[in-house]
Amino acid sequence: MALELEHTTFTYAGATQPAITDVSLRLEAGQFYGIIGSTGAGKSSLCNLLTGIAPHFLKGELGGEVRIEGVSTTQLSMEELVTRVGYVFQNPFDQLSHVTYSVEEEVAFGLQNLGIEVGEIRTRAEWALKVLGIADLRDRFPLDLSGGELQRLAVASILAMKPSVLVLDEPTSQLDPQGTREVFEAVAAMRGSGLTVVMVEHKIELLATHVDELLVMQRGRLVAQGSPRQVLSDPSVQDWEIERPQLAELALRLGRTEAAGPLPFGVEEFLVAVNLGPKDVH
Amino acid sequence: MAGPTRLLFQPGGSLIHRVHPATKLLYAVAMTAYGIVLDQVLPLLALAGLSVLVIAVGGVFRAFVRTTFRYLVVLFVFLFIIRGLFYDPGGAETFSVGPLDLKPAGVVFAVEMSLRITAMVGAFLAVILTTHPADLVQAIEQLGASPRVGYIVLATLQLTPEMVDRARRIMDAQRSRGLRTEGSLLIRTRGLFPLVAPLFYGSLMSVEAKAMALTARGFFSQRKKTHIRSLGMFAWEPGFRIALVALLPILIGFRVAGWL
Repeated sequence: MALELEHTTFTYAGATQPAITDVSLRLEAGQFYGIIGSTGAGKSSLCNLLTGIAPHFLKGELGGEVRIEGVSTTQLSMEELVTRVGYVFQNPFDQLSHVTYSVEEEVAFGLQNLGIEVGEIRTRAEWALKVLGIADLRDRFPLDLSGGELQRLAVASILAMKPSVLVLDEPTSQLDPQGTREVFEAVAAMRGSGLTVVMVEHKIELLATHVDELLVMQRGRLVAQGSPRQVLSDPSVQDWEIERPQLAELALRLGRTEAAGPLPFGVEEFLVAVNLGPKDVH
Repeated sequence: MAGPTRLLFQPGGSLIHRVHPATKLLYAVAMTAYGIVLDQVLPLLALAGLSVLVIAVGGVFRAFVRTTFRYLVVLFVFLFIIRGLFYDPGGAETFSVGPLDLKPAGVVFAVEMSLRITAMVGAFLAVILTTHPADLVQAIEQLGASPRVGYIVLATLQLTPEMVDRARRIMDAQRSRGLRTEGSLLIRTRGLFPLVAPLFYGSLMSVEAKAMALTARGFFSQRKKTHIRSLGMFAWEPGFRIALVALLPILIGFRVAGWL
């Protein structure tokens, strides 16, 4: 078990209402999880708890327990936490150290902080840059990269620290479609490596086709967890204040039935679901 | 996403680039101390000249003018006008430049102060413009300071261009909503108010995000940090450092003796 929350409630210091209320969940090692929910649903707060940023950095009152690989986050120092759980934020620009002059140095920044031996830093940096598909950019000035490249650099910088869990909080929210696709493809490529990935994302179309399970947050509570088709087929979707992928919604409105196959996320699946063959579409 | 900003550091292979950052830092501190001790136009002119020469040898003269000196010139002009018009300790005779009646003592003071500022600011800019930020952090750490101190100083300096970018973006946004920012001094001053609040608030938000990101990258780890960049030193640098320090009491002695 990579991560567990047990009846977890968290209230930020100075706040009157909890950001997270009585959430219990279990995330298996090596799986890809997506977190969805409307604005203010508690998605980022959940990420903060999963990574230990709350309550270590963002102070507040924690009820229940958050465990990483069986150990409570409150019993681990931030230094121990960052080698277990990596955290990638929305804005790649804010994640840069601003004291490096090349992509390789930027990836090395976190490893230097942890006192990793120089030879090992270079090996890990090379590996992380290759995994993210930006090895050819190693000598470039970070701020000269495109948005997608910059976010992939941010992911590589965290990945190089060899965490067993990677948490990404809306990593594509500030990227164009090309940058978004780059980041999704890079993260999807990490599947099968044993890394557990948790991603908060509003782009439900992309998330639904990539993740093993979706978690739905609403007003600080976890209201659903399951495979994307399971969750998005649920009649309660509108009550959860989320939207289905457009093709799935369209198929449902066109009278798609259970017998027609799984809820469609892609065009081909959609055509099957509404009993149209490719030849019927002109 | 924030637009691209450049770090102040200008990569290069000049002699000044290759000098150990601690030596350069000592040079900047020494130049500041010399600037405080010296008090006449000619010695200060020599000091400012040396400062600019080092910048030129480092190949960063254009960057110095672009990032700093053009703003300093505005300060110097103000200094010249204000001091030239009003600074008159001895009640000496005035002389005219166009419509202005200037006081000699005030003009001399303004010139000395301008040279002093050029020498001091130029020395520190020479360090910042020719030293890789990571090397400077490492050097500060080697001098016994906490790596956090080094990082905070450096990141603050390096983020200055970002602040300028942010201010420009806010100003453009406010202009697009009809805010007048050009015209009389009063209009320009009024135009500043809608800039300050978003700039301040946005910067605070950004600082928190950056602090969280640094935390997630092990910045506050208690372990001894490693560095993938190694710092070199010329054979003459230890002697040069001693000379920089030794020159200070000599200059103080000359000043006390009235020779400077």
